[in-house]
Amino acid sequence: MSEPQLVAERQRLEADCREALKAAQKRAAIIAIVRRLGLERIAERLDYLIELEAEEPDEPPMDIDSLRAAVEFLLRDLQMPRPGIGVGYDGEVGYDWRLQPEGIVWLVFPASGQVQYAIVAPDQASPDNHTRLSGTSDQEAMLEIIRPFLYRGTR
Amino acid sequence: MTGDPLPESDHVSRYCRPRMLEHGRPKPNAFLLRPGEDHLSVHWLEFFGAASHALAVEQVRATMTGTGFSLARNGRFAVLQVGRTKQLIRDKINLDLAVEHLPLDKDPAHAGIRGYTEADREVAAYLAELVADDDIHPAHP
Repeated sequence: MSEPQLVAERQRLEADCREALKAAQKRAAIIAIVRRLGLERIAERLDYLIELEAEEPDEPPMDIDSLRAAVEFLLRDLQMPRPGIGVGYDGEVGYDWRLQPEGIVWLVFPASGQVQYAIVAPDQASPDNHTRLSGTSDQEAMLEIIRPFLYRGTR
Repeated sequence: MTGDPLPESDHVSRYCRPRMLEHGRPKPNAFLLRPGEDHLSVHWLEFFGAASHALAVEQVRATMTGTGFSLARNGRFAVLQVGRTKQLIRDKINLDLAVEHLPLDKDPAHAGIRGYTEADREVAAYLAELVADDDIHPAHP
């Protein structure tokens, strides 16, 4: 297959996955989409987080709409460094990246679709000072906010 | 006495749920307050007079399970030094945290980290960054 054909094939796959993501009714269906995208390590982590629910049956399970929002975010840039993934008290999925040499980018995906974030990292120009950012954003703007931090390198 | 500040050189442990850990290390949400909470619930390790943090954490385990708290098999305890924690947050965020002894009937070593709210996600992020690998202990021996 030629390079343009490969690109077109990839774009079709991503478009299919976006549609399937909107329609998915179960968490397993969303994780299957993650696998279709070739993100096996992320799919394994999500499976594991769901398995962990058996250890804490009184805690809210991973929220399907939060999971959907988190996967939608991945689809915006499949080249972004792979995040750490956790689940909060409300069942909301969160991503985190530990930055080089220190610092954290942390995102939480409420079911509403907005993203809550906190970023703490040394200033590159003046490492004694720290950049601190937090708030709520839509997904597209969020990606632009975190991109310069993620490309510093992650641990 | 309730509300007494803990010595700066002392340590507290925070129970971290498995869903808030990855590769055994706590994520920021392990240090995030729930809505309505006015402190992060922790345990004062020096209260037990144990020879090591690991032994003190054993006492914390026993206390927590004794009060009916269920510790998950894959949970962990993260240990923070009081003075270092307060200094870090003061330096980075200009926020004064207080680490206070808040004993409960069946949990005399209970303590709390006050001075931030559920909205202060940056505090939770810094606390997660502060925990070193040596400061993490299993929730089950």
